[in-house]
Amino acid sequence: MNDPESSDTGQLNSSERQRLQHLYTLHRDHIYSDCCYASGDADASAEIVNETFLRLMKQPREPDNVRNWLFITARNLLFTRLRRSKHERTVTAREPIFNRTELSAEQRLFLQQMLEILSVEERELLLLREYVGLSMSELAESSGITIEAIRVRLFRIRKKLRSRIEDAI
Amino acid sequence: MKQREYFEQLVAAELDGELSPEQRAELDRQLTVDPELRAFRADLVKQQLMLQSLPHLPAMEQPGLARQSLKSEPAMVRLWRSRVTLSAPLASAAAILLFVAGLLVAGLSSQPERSPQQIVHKSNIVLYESEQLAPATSRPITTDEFELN
Repeated sequence: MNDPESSDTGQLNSSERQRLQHLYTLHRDHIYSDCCYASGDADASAEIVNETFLRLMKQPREPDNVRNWLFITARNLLFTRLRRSKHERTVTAREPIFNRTELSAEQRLFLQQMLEILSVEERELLLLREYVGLSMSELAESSGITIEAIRVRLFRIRKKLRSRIEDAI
Repeated sequence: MKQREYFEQLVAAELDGELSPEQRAELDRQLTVDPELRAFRADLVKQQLMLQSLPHLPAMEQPGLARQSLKSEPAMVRLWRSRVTLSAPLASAAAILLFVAGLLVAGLSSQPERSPQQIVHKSNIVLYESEQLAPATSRPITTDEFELN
């Protein structure tokens, strides 16, 4: 995002600032929510959103598909963070998302089940597909695997979630 | 009869909008005669709708972001300034604080030591006795001057 003149001082020019502010306003809540639903940790998600946009500012130029770039960067940061803290399945939520008033009782139950049943990689893949709306090819490209592999993974994740929820009922 | 998983994969492909017309017809035929597949499809559709209908939670309500809020500037610029622009003033402030702390330490070490007679013991607390015994200027004793015995 930095132009050659401003990058020396680490400052953004006014059009870059405006563009950054626009992207931040446009995608912040969506990225934050995606991280929340994948991790169950609201505080960690807020920090990941900050870090994601700080990384965007450090880019030499705006990525081609900046929306996808933001979500994929946030996903990678989330995975790195969880690997570091070794809380992959059972995230210690400093501020759990399930008390959020924006969520219906049905949504809370669904999210809780999803957190219990799926790994964070599985949750995030499912969310990137259904909640964020990334295409199969975008998911494959960002994960470094084939579209067919993504298709198989998603199929297994959906079946796993469905069967375990069915068992619980 | 084809395997169940084949039709389940067709259902998943339908959710992803990747069914060919032939596959569409094949799936429709199977759905009419297979109640389990219908139930499977209904559950996956419900799952998909649930995920797609999740709300966007407002990020700024979180303390992680609220901590970085300065009311005068847009959020993203604030974030940037907090990491980049404010680093130099913060470093200066830290240097000034260290300098002042150094002066205080030097000043304290130059004061004469108090003798034990100048100290009154009161239960578990020791305090300097009076203004005239206090080494520097005459002033009221404050709680800062209490020392644990």
